[in-house]
Amino acid sequence: MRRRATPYLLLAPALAFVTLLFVIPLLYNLVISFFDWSVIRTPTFIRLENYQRVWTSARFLAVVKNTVTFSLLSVPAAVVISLLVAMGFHSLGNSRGSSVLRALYFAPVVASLTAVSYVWVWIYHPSYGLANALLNGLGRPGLDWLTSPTQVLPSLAVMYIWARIGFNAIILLAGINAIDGTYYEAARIDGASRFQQFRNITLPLLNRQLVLVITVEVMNTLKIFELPFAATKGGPVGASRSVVMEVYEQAFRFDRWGQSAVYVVTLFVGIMVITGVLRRLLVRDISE
Amino acid sequence: MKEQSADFLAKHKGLTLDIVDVPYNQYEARYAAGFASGGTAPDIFMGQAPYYAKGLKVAAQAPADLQTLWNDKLVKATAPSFQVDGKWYSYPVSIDLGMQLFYNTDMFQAAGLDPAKPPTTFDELREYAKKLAIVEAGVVKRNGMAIRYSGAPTGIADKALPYVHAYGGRLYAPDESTADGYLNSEGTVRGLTFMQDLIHKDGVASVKLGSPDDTFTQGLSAMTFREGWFEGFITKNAPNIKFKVAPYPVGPAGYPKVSLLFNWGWMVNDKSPRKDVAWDWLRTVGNAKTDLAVAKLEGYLPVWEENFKDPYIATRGDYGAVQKQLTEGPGPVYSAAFANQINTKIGEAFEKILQGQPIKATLDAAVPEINDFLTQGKR
Repeated sequence: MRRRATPYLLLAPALAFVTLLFVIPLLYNLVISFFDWSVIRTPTFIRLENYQRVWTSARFLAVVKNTVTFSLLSVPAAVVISLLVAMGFHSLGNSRGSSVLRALYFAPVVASLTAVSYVWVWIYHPSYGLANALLNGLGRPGLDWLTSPTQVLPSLAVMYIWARIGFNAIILLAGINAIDGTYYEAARIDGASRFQQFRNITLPLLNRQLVLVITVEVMNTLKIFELPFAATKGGPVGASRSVVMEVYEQAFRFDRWGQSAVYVVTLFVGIMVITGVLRRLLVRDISE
Repeated sequence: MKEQSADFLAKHKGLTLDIVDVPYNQYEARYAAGFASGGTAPDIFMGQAPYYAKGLKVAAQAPADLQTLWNDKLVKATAPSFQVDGKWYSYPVSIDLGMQLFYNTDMFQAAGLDPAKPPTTFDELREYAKKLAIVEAGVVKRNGMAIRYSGAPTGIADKALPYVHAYGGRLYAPDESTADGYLNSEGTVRGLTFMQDLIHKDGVASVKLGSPDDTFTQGLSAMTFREGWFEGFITKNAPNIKFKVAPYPVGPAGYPKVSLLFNWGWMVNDKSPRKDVAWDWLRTVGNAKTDLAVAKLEGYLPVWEENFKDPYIATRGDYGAVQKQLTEGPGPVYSAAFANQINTKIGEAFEKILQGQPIKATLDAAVPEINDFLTQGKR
């Protein structure tokens, strides 16, 4: 009896924390979504009116499109680049300077995304920025970066990827380091090329870490807020306004907490479905 | 403010005064959280009277003695912006007398223009902008006239007011009943056409170089509209920039008088258990001497009329512009209850227009959402 209770007792503090800070607010948010809810006025139950208003609005479609586009631009590139960096770190092993290099790659991770935004706003400045200076130096015209409705999302994606490479690379490096070297030895003896070793040994045995990185990055990008809020305020003309930015604006700018809650519920369900599908598609049993 | 509160604290022994700085981009969220929770709402807060007094109904009406005092002593041109139905709810933090024309005198001279003769009409403004802009391979490298095209939507709406009013437009009806026929009126369309043309037809203004504040102080803009505080800002942050300030030009509908979307003032929380004490604080710091001291410290204009006779005003670069604004009196007043939301929607529409979207169609599309908020404010 005591043995059966022990795991639950050990889990209890964490469960209490998650319940208090996540489950209860989520349920409360769900309740709010059925009300005309204001800071000051008495809430009025309006059934599904908030859902109908939000889901049929052009603004909702626009922010969902922006958010999904940002995710599609960021996640594949972030994962691929992080994997390449991790493999590079693995090759370096503990050679001289490798720890410094790892620290440099990890440095952006410890900075807040808001700080990252402010730095990159200057890098992207049309007149004084490093980005256009580099392009001009290569004989190319400067780009509009954050000031263009078509370039703003790719520009933000670059900022995000830069900020996340280090973290993802560390996770993937840990996975690569854990792969038994005898597999590669056996493959080399069998005449496998490096690409074949990567495809048939590294990738399958790195499956868990890759799925973790992909899932975390998908969740992070779908919830993106700090980057567009600090760098572009959702502009130009709403081209970089994300779903979470809209949660903020509906609540704090428009005092429409019910509609803000609809965005939260929609985002939550969307992330659950997408990450569930991704895990179904990507998780592999490595014993196969 | 902390220093000026010493007298107040001496009178109210045992009281502690906590002054909290809230960054502009956090105030909406922090105020909303404070007022929703009740217990953590401030006793006194800086905000905009229409929204907090009329919309959210969290601001208290000033007591009778302050109504009389402020009616008598504070600048009349901007008074309606701090009142609701003629009653004061808000003590002005500074008198931002609306936009003035800031122009770089070195750039004027280099372009063959006389710095003593700034543009006095909008047509002249356009011609000057064409001479002052630097364009290379179709790309604007220096704004002839800097336009606010991005950032907080309310700011975009606010900076477009001179253009809108110069051409006889308005944001919504004086009785706040509708935006139809006002926001999408011929006057508003013409004012916004002027702005859009500066960018997309004349090619003398850029929507990529950065904000007017930044570009003017960086030497990337020759002219811009900004409020009086900008003079102090330039002097402090860009002392190398030689500039002058002029009243903004006259349009086909006449001189666009003082009209504010940002009307920041001190208000008292109507539900504060210390309301009387809060008003007493405002009585203590709200005097001509403190007003002038704060104005000089911040580079603002004072809010007490008598302080406009002080040499501090006469020696300011915007003295002429200020006198013009005070003489002309108040322009259209925008004090709808949900001003925050309405101005945001208007700013979003103006942003689209400045990026090149069709003017009338964009304004027509914005009208229903704005009317929604106008109706809500009447409930």
